[in-house]
Parts: sequence; structure tokens; C-alpha cells
Amino acid sequence: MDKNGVSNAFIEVKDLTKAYHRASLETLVLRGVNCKITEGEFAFVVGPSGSGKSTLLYLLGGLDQPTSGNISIAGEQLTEMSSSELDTLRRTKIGFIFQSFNLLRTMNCIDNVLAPFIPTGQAAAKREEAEALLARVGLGGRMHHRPSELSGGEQQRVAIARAILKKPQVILADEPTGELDTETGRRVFDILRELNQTEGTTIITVTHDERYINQDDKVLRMQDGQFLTNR
Amino acid sequence: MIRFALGNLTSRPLRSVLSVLGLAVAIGGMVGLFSIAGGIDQVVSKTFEQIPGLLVQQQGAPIPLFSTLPANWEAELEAIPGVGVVDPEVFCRVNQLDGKMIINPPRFAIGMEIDARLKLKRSLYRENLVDGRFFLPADVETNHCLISREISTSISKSVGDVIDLNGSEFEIVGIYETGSMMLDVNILMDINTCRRLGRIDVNTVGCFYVEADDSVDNKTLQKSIEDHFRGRDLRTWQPRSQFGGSGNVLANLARRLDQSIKGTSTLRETDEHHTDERFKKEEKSHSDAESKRLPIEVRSADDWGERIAEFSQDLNIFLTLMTAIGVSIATLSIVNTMMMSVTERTTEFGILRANGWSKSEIMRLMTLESSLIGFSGGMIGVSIGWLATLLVNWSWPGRLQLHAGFPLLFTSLIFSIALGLVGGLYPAWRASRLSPMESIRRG
Ligand SMILES: Nc1ncnc2c1ncn2[C@@H]1O[C@H](COP(=O)(O)OP(=O)(O)OP(=O)(O)O)[C@@H](O)[C@H]1O
Ligand SMILES: [Mg+2]
Repeated sequence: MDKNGVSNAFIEVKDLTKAYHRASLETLVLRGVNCKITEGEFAFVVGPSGSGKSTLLYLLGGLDQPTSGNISIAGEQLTEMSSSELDTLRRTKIGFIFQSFNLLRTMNCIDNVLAPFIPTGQAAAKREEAEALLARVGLGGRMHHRPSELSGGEQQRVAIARAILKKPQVILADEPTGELDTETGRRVFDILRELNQTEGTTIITVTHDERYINQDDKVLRMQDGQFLTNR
Repeated sequence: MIRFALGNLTSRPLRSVLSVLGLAVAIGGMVGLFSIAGGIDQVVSKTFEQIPGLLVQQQGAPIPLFSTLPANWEAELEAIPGVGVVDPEVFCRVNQLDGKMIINPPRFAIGMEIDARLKLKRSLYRENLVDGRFFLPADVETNHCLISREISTSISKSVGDVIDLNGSEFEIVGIYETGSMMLDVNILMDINTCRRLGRIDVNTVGCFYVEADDSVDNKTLQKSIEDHFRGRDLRTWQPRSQFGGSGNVLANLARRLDQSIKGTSTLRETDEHHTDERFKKEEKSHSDAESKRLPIEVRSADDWGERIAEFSQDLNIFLTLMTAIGVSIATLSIVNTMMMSVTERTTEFGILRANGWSKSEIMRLMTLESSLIGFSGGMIGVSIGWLATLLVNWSWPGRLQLHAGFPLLFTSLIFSIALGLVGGLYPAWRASRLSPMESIRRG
């Protein structure tokens, strides 16, 4: 596979627009977003607040429908997928990590990690793997703790473990370190980087803190619903 | 999934417990109420399955107790083809037992023709004898009696003891137990002894119990008996006891009430004119039918059962209405609980959707949770209701026994689960429709 070839872009966004309708008022949040992300890339989306970064991320994960334009992931058009196909995509190929409130508060760590597979009945089969993942993010001793008994950084690591369990092709993270101090934030990014390196998982992260960005990373700068540069 | 649903419920213990209890009370009430109907049904089947013969009684008498017939019809009945044994019976109410006033449960003295009784192929009391002996031909005209185990326990007397009925002394020779509260109130004795006790005319009987011989079935026999007596007018025949100061005050009152309702007799001077008019009109319009008038009713156990089943159906409608009230309140409380849960958990649904849960899986989770409320409420309610019927039966053994059988308990539980499910449907649908993105943003 030619990694620099145009047609080989793993994620391709074309002329993407998203408008919100509130009463009779239309807010155009994304105004023609174009970008290509190759497989195994570590990409950052940065930009001022309200520029549409989260909106783009949710669209990439099929959590919302674009107003116009196209998104393709691994050759498949998101807009052409049925809702159950999108559900399967999210269950098996895309890992989400949000800024906070990532976990189900009525479940302990291990069950939170297994949550995507509860309805499919695969939870029991994946339990050992989930335990190993929690150990890998440094939470081996806290499997049976509830989210309320964990620190913010620990909660984010549980969310990462959950995202990794499905062996995703892409991880979409919306300010995963937004509520963490620099040191804990660094640990979260270390895990993501390790995953990117060892498994080749494509990672797209929204962040305000540019200190986490490395030289080789792709940086997409967003302003007013468009990308400024495409490095 | 069940573990997750349970976890969600137990994480809001107070709210879950309250809606479970609300439902439990409703379901417990339902079990309690319907156990009354169940009790009646059980008494009916227990009573009538033991009486395979036909009962010939006065037309319009609600129960044999209020029936009076000429004693000499016995011979006529015996002559009807197909009739095996005819046992005439008289009844009177026992108002005083061992010097104590009897109000509830009532006690009745039943006089039977011992010789005829002994000829019956199936004899209810003989079959259910638990102590002592049944009547012998030598018991005719004696003050010997049989009482039920229930009476025996309540007055602490057994075989060989002497009891006082309305001032006369009787010796207990046997104890029976039919298990039916309608029958276990009876004190059995010889027919003439009973007539003396109730000051009942020797020319009258209460009713006839007729057992068919093997040549005909009950239906055919019922018809030939009716045909035989059709056109006889009982009104021209007046039993003396109705006018004489019979000790059977209640029966008289009931009889008079019954007649005054039908307009065939008058109680007061002032009513006389009015009712007479009505009576005449009736006679005119029914003059043709008059000649075919039937003075008696012949009932088989099935007829009795049907009559009581009708009553118990009416009762069921009433019980259903009562239950419906409790149940709707409980359902609303489930809907409320689940709605609160939905508004509180939008983020959670967003997270689940982001992790691949489909809309229908979210719905499944929510309805599972509400069904679990339904199940727990049902289990508790059914247990409470069941224990309550046991407690009531144990506290008042002589009264109507409540009966909450397995079908009632099981239906109640299923019903409760269904309520939980229905109560959770709308909230679940709301939960599934939440946009995952909005849910997460709001969190
Ligand atoms: N449901 C909605 N209805 C209307 N407007 C919305 C809705 N959701 C988001 N917006 C608007 O879209 C714009 C972009 O929002 P978005 O969350 O994508 O920004 P962002 O770049 O992630 O900002 P931040 O850095 O603060 O997270 C904002 O102006 C926001 O008010
Ligand atoms: Mg954002």
C-alpha cells in the first residue's frame, strides 16, 4: 500500500458541512472541511473554542449526521451506512474517549471496559483480555472500583482500556486530558502513543494543550468551521 | 445485561425500592381480593362435587333453607321412573348452642330420613365421617346427632358428649368433615327430631334429595320430575309452620322478603292494595302460563355451581375494578421512576451509543430494568398476598376460606412483570431516541 497515495487515505473528509437549526436560526458550524488521514497516523485537531472541533469528531464517529459532504473510513462511506451498520462500526472499529463522564457510574472498572460487548453476549469471553488491558494502563489493582472511587486520570485510563479492547482501527479522543494536570495528562498520552506505535492504531485527538504534540504528528488547525493548514 | 440493569436499579436504591413497594402493594391487594373469589369457587366445587344427586325444592327459594314442600310428594317422587332413592330433608336454624347465641358462622339442624339416607349410593356425610359412627336405623326418633369437626373444635365436644340445641339435649354420635364451609355448619339428626326442634309441621319437608337409579341420567330425570309436578299450585297449599310461631325467625323473614319482592304476598295492610293490583295484573297476563306453572325447582350440583359461578363473575368484575385502581397508580409510579432515570442518565446513554449500543439495545436495557421492578414487586406482592390469605384463614377458620392458588399467584406475578414492562416502554423509547452526541455534550 502506498502510504502517500491520495487514494490510500484511511480517513477522508470531503466538503463536510454541518449546520444546527435552533428555532428558525441556522448556525453553520462546519463550512466545508477537507482532510485526509493515513492509517497509523497520530493526528491533532486544534483551534479556538467553538470552532467546531468536537462536532467534526462526532461526525467522524458516526454519532451525528453531516448536513452535506462525505466521510469515508477504510473505504466505506459513513453517510451511506445504515444505523445498525454505524452501531457495529462504533462497537468494533472506533474507540471514543471524551473529556469527562466517560464511564458508567453504576459499573466497576472491569465492567465499564466490557460495556460495548454486554448486549452481544461477548463480555464474559473478553473478560480476561479486559483485565490485561486494565493492568496495562496501570489499573491492575483497581478492577473492581467504581468510577467515583477513581481519580480523573485513572478514569481516563479506564476509558482508554475500553477503547482499546475492541482493537479499533481509529481512536477519536475529544480533549482526553482537558481535566487533568500536566503529569497525568502526559501518562494518558504515553499510553495513546504506545498504542499508536505498537498496534498502528490511527489516533485523532482534539486538544488545547499543544505541548503534547510531537514533531511527526499531523496537526489540523481549525477556525470558524474550516481547516487553516493541512500539514 | 441483567447484572447491568440490576446495578442501575440498586444504585438508586430508595427510588427503586419505593416503586417496587408501590407495585407490591397493588399486586398483594390483587391477590388478596381475587383470593375471595377463589375461596368461593373452591367452596362451590368442594361442596357440589360431593353431591351427585338432584335437589327438589320450592320454586323461587334462593337456597334449600328457604324451601317448603308437602311431605306427601315423597311417594309421588319415588314413583317417577328413574328415581332411586328419595331423602326428604327439613332444616332449622340453631339459634342457641349450649346456651350461647349463635350468629356467625351459622349453625343449621338438618333432619333427614335415616332409612332413605342409608340407601343412598353416595352419601356425603357418611363418606366424610372422621369419628364415631353414622346413623343407624335405631337412631330414628332419637336425639342423636352428627356434628362437623369444625363445630366439634369450636365447642370442644366430641363423640359421646351431650350438646344443647335451642334448649334440647342431643348426644353426639359421630363427627364428619366435608371441608366445605357451606356444609360443615350442619348438625345432622333424624327428620322428626328436627321437626320437633324447629316446630315444623309433620306434613312439610324442606326439600327432597333425589338419587337416580342407574337407568337414567340426571338431565332426563330432572325433566321427568319437572313434568310430573308441572301445573301444581303450591300457593293453595300453605304449610302451617309459616303462620305458626316457628322458631326459624330468620328463614321466615327471608321468605317474606323474598315473597314481597316478587309481589306474591303482602306484609302490611298498607301494601296490600298495591301488591294485590300487581298480583292480579301478573295473573292476567300470565293466565296461560299459569297452568304450566312449576311449583318446584330441580337442581343438580352443576346448576348450583353455575348459579354461584355467575355470582362470582359479578364479583370478579368488581374485584377487577378495585385492582385496576391500585394497579394504575403502581404503573404510573413505575413510569415516573423510569422517566426520572432517563433524564438523569442521558450521558450514560450517550456513552453506550458511542460504544456501539443500538437504539433497540438501549430500549432493551430500560425495559429490562422496569421489568425487574415488576418482577420484584410481583414477587413481594404475591408473597404478601399469599401470606395474608393464610393468616386470614388461620385467624378465622370457620369463615369463608380465602383461596390463592398457584394459578392466581402465577398470573399475578406475570401480570406484575407485564406492568413493569409496559410502564418502562415509553421511558425506554424516549431514552433510545436521545441523540448520543447531545447526550454527551450535555454531560
Ligand atoms: N446542538 C447544537 N445546536 C446548536 N449549536 C450547536 C450545537 N452543538 C454545538 N453547537 C455550536 O457549534 C459550535 C461548535 O461547537 P463544538 O463543540 O464543535 O466546538 P469546539 O471546537 O469543540 O469547542 P470547544 O473547544 O469549546 O470544545 C459552537 O458554536 C456551538 O455553540
Ligand atoms: Mg469541544
